Amino acid sequence: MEDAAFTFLWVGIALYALLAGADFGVGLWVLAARFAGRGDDIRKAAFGYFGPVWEVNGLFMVFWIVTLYAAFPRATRVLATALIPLVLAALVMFVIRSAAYAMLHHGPERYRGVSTWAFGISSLVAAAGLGYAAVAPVSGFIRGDEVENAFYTSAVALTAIPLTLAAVAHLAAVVLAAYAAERHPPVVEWFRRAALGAGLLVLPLTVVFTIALADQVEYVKDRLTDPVVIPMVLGGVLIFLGTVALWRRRFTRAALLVFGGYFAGLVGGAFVPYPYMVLPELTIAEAAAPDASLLGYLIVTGAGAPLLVAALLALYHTALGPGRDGDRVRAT
Amino acid sequence: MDDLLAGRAQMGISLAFHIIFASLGVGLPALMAMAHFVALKKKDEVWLRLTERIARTFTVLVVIGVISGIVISVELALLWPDFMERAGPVIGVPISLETYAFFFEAIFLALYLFGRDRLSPWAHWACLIPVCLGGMLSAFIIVSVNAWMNTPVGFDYVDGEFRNPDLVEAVFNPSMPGEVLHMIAAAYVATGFACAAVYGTAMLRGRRGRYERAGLGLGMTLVAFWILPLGVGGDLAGRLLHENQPAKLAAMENLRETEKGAGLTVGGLVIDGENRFGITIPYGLSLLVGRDPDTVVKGLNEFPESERPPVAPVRYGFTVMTAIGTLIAIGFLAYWFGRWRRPRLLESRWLLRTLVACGPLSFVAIEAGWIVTEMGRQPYIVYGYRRVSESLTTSSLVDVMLFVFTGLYVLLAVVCVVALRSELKLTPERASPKVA
Ligand code: HDD
Ligand code: HEM
Ligand code: HEM
Repeated sequence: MEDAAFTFLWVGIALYALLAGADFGVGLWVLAARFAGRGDDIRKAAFGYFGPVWEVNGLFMVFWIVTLYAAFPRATRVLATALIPLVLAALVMFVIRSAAYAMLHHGPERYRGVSTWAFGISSLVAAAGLGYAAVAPVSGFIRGDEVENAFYTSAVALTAIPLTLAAVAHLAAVVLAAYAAERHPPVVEWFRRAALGAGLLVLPLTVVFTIALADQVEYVKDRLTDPVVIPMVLGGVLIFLGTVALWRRRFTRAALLVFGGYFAGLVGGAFVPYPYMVLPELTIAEAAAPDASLLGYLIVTGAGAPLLVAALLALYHTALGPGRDGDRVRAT
Repeated sequence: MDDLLAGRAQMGISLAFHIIFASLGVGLPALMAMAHFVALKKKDEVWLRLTERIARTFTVLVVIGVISGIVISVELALLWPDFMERAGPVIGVPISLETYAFFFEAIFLALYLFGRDRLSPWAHWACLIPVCLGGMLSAFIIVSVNAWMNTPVGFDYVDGEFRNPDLVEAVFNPSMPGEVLHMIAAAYVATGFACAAVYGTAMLRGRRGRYERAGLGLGMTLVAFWILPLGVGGDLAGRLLHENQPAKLAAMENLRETEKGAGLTVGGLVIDGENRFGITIPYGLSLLVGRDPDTVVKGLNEFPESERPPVAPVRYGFTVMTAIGTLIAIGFLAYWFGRWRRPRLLESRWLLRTLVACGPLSFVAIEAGWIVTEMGRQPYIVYGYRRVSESLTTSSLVDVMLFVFTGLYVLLAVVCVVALRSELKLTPERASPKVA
C-alpha cells in the first residue's frame, strides 16, 4: 500500500515539476525576451498561456506536499527539518514571484520593468532551489534530521542546478511554442528555436548529473544496470522524438512527447533508490503512515483523480486549445 | 526573541493574513454568482457591471490568497515537524481531500474567467457553482482539522503517537459543527459587509445611482442569508466549549472560580487578573452555555497554572468579536427595516456610515474569533495531548523566518492594494477578465 502511495506522491511531484516547472521557465523567457528586444510580444504570448493555468499548476505542489503529510509523516519531519534553509529560500522566491505576477498582470504600467525582473529572477531562483533540494534525499547526505554541510558543495547538488534550469527552460519553450502556434503565430519561431536550444543543453547536463550522482552514491551506481532504469531510458527516447517533432513543426505533438518524456523520467527516477525514500536513512515503509491512513488517502485520491483529470483537460482545452478567430494575434 | 514565541507569532501572522483572503475566497464567488444571475435574468447592464467588478477584484485577491495558503501549508511542516509527524496520519487525509476542493475551485474559476467566449451564457454562469462549493468545502475541511486540534478524537494514543486513526470520527469531532458553521457563516457575512461597505462609501461620496444601490443591496442580501447561521454557530460553539474545552471558556469569561449560576460579564477590562468595569448579567453564562440558570461552569481554578491559556488576549478577543457581532446585527436590521418600511432611512448618512464601518470590522471580528480559538487552546497544539513547546522545529532559523515572512506579508499587502486599484481603474479592453 505504501508503494501505491509513493507512486501517487511521485505522480504529483512529476506533474508539479512539469507544469509548474514550465511556468518557472516562462519567467526565464520573459526576461530573455526583454534582452532580445522582443519584450512585449513574447510577454503577451507567455502570459496568455500562463494566466489561466498558473494557479492550477501551482496546486500540484500543495497536492504532493499534502500527500507527504498524509502518507509519509516521518519523511515529512525529516525533510522539513533537514531542508529548512532551501525550502525557506524557495518559499521566499514564491512569494516574490506571486507579487511580481500580480503587478505585471494587474498593476500599473510603470512598474512593468521592475516586476519583469523580479518575476524572472524569482522564478529562476525558486526553480534552482527546488532542484537543489530535490536531490538531497538521494544524495546520501541526510543523516538523522540534518543534511551534512558537504551536501551544499557536492557535485550532485551543484550539477542539479543547471540541469533543473535547462529543463524548465526547455519545458516552457516547448509548451509556449505549441500555445503560440494556436494563438500567437508571430512568436512561434522564437519559441521553437528557444526550445531546440534548451533541449540541446539538457542532454549533456543530464549525463553530467548522472555521473556525479553515481559517483557519489554507490547504491545508485549499482542500480544503473538494473531494469529499474528502463522508464528513464524511455523518457529520453520520448524527449528525443519530441525534439524531432519540434524540428518538423508539429508543435502539439512535440509538447506532448516532451512532457511525457520528462514524466516517465521523473517517476521512473524516483524508483531508482527503491526501497529508500531518504537514502540511507528512511525506507518507504518506515516513512509511511499506518495502514488505515494510507487506505483513506488512497481512497480519497483514487476517487478524486478521474474527476480532476477530466476537469483539468476541460480547462487546458478551453484555455489553451485552438482559439476562435478573435483570439488569434495575426502575423502582420 | 525566544524561538517558541517566534514560531507562534509567525503561525499567527501567516494565518491572520491568509484568513482575510480565504474568507473573501469563500464569499466573493457567492456574490458573483448572485450578481451574474440577476444580470442574466433581467438582462441588466448595471448588474453585469457589478459582476465584472467583483470578478476583477477576485482575480487579484486570488493571486495573493493562493500564495499565502501555499506558504502556510509548507510552514506547518517547517515550524511544527513533530506535530505533522504525529498528527499527519489523522489530519493528513482530510487535508488531501481539501486539495481537491482547491483544484475544483481553481479550475472552474479559470474556466469562468477565461471561458466566456467558448461557453453559453448559462454554462458560463454555472462554472461558479463548483467555485462556490469548492470554497465552502475547503473551509469546512480546514476548520474541521482545526476543531480536531481543539477536541482530538478518533485514535489510540500510544507512546506519544496517534495510532489506529478513525478518519471519519476525526473529521466529525465534537467541536466541528460549531466551528465550521460559525466560520463559514462569518466568511459570507464579512464578504457581504465588505461589498456593502465599498458601495456605501461611494454613496457617501455622493454617487447614489442605481449601480451603487444595487451593490449595497447585493452585499446586504448575502448578509441576510448568513447572519442567523452566524449567530446560531457562535452560540453552538460556546455551548460546545462548555462541554469540551472548559479552560477556553473560563478564559473567555475570565471566570476565576467554578460557579453554579455563573453570570455573564459584558465588556470591561482585565486588570490584575480581575474583570473590571464590565456589566455582569446574573446567570447569563449558565443560561447561555447550559440553557439553565443552575448550570455549573468550570472556572480557571480547576486547571493547574501550567494548563491555563493566557486570559487577557482570549478575553479581549471574545469581547471584540461579540461587540462587533452586536454592531453588525444593528446595521443589518436597520438596513432591512429601511428597505421594508422607511426608504428615507436608506439615505441617512448615519446608516451608511455604520454599514461602511461594518465592512472592515467584520474582518476584525474574524481575527478576534481566531485569537479566542487559537490562544484559548494554549499551551496545547493538540488539546490535552501534545504541547506547542514539544512541537517546535529544532532549526535555529525560526526567528529569521519570522522577520523575513513578516516583511513579505507587508510586500504582499502593498502589492495587493496597488494591483487592485490599478485593475479596477483599467479600461475594459486592458482588463484581464471580461465576464459580461
Ligand atoms: C464576522 C465575524 C464574527 C462575529 C460577528 C462573531 N464571531 Fe465568533 N468567531 C468567528 C467570527 C465571528 C470566527 C473567526 O469565525 C471564529 C474563530 C474560530 C471559529 O470557528 O470561528 C469565531 C470563534 C468563536 C468561538 C470559539 C469557538 C471555538 O474555539 O471552538 C465562540 C465561542 C464564538 N466565536 C462565539 C461568538 C458569539 C457568541 C458571537 C456573537 C456575538 C460571535 N462569536 C460573533
Ligand atoms: C485562518 C484563521 C486562523 C488564525 C487567524 C489563526 C491564528 C493563530 C494564532 C494567533 C496562533 C498562535 C497562538 C498562540 O501560540 O498563542 C496560531 C497557532 C496555530 N494555528 Fe492557527 N489560526 C487560524 C486557523 C488555523 C487552522 C485552520 C489551523 C489548522 C489546520 C491552525 C493551526 C495552527 C497551528 C498548528 C498553530 C501553532 C500551534 C499553537 O500555537 O497552538 N490554525 N494560529
Ligand atoms: C479557517 C481557516 C481557513 C480557511 C477558511 C481557508 C479557506 C481557503 C480558501 C477559500 C482558499 C481559496 C482562496 C482564494 O481563492 O483566494 C484558500 C486557499 C488556500 N489555503 Fe486556506 N483556509 C484556511 C486556512 C488554511 C490553512 C491552515 C492552510 C494550510 C494547511 C491553508 C492552505 C491553503 C492553500 C495551500 C491555499 C491555496 C489553494 C488555491 O490555490 O486555491 N489554508 N483557503
